[in-house]
Amino acid sequence: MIHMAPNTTSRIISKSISGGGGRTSYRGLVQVLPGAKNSKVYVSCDALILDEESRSDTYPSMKINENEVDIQHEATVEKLGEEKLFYLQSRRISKSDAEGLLVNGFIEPVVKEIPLEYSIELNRLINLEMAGSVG
Amino acid sequence: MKYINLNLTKQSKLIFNNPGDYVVYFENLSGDLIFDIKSSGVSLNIYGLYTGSKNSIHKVNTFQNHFEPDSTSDLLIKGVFYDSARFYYRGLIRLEKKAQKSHAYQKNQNILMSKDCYVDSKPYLEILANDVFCTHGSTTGKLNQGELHYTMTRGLSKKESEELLVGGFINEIKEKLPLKYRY
Repeated sequence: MIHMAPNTTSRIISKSISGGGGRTSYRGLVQVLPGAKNSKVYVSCDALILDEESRSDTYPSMKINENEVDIQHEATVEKLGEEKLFYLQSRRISKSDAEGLLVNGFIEPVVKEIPLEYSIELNRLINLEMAGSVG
Repeated sequence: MKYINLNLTKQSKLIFNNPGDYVVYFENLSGDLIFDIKSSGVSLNIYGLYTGSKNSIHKVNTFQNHFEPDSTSDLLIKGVFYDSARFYYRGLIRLEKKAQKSHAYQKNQNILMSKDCYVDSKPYLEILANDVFCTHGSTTGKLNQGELHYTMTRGLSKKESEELLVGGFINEIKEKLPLKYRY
C-alpha cells in the first residue's frame, strides 16, 4: 500500500488460518511518501493456528516519510478458544461443528465484505475443510 | 526483579536460563539486541527509548526468541524524532515449537515531529507453536492535535505544549522502570 497523495485512507485486514501442518505468511508494505499529508492507514493481521504442526509468520513493513499521518498496525496470533469450544459443546454442538462455527466467526469481518454468493461458498468450504480435520 | 540497563552493560545478547522477573532498558542503542528465553517461568519486560534529531540514524533489530514453554516477553519501544532523523526498527518474535503456552508482545510507537524525519518499522512474528498468545502493534504519527490544542488553550505556548506532551509520551516508559533507576 503506497500513499503518494494527501488526504487518503487505506485499510488492510488479513485473516489467516493454518492447520494440518500448514504455514501461513503475511508480507505487506505500507509506504507514505513525502507530501502525502493526512494519510491514514490501518493494518490488521490476525492468525489462527489450529494444531501443533502448523505455523504462522507475519512480516509487515512500514516506511513513513511524512509526519502528518496516522499509521497503525496490529497483529495477533492465537488458537481456537478452548472456553468457547467448551461452551458450544455444552450446548450440544459437536466438536467439529463448534470448530467450524468458531473459524467462520473468526473470518466473518472479511466474509461480510464480499458478495453473498461467494461468502456462502466460502463458509461451506471451511466447514468441509474443518470436518474432522482438527483433533 | 532483576533490572538490566543495556547502555551500561553493553551486552547485545541476553540469555535467560532461570525463571524470574526481568526488566531490560535501553536508550538510543543501534545494532542487534537478542533476548533468548531458555527457561520456563521467565517474565521479561523490554523497554527501549529512542530520540533522534538533526541527521541522526538509529538502526535496531530486536529478537525475542522463546525456546521453552510458559514464559512471557513484552517489548515496548518508543521513539520521538525531530529534524531529518531516521529510525529503522525491526523486531522479531520467534516462538519455537516447544514454546507452548508462551505470551509474547511487541509494541513500537513513534512520534514524528518534523516532516523530514523517516521511520521504517518492521514488527515480525514467527510462530511455530499453537497454544500461545502473541500480538504486535506499531503506530506512527504526529502528536495528538486535540491534546496540543487543549494545553495551548491553558496558556502554554506551542513549544511548551509540545515539550509537555513529548515528556508525557516518554514518561510512559520511565514510570515502568523500578523507582531507583528512573532518573
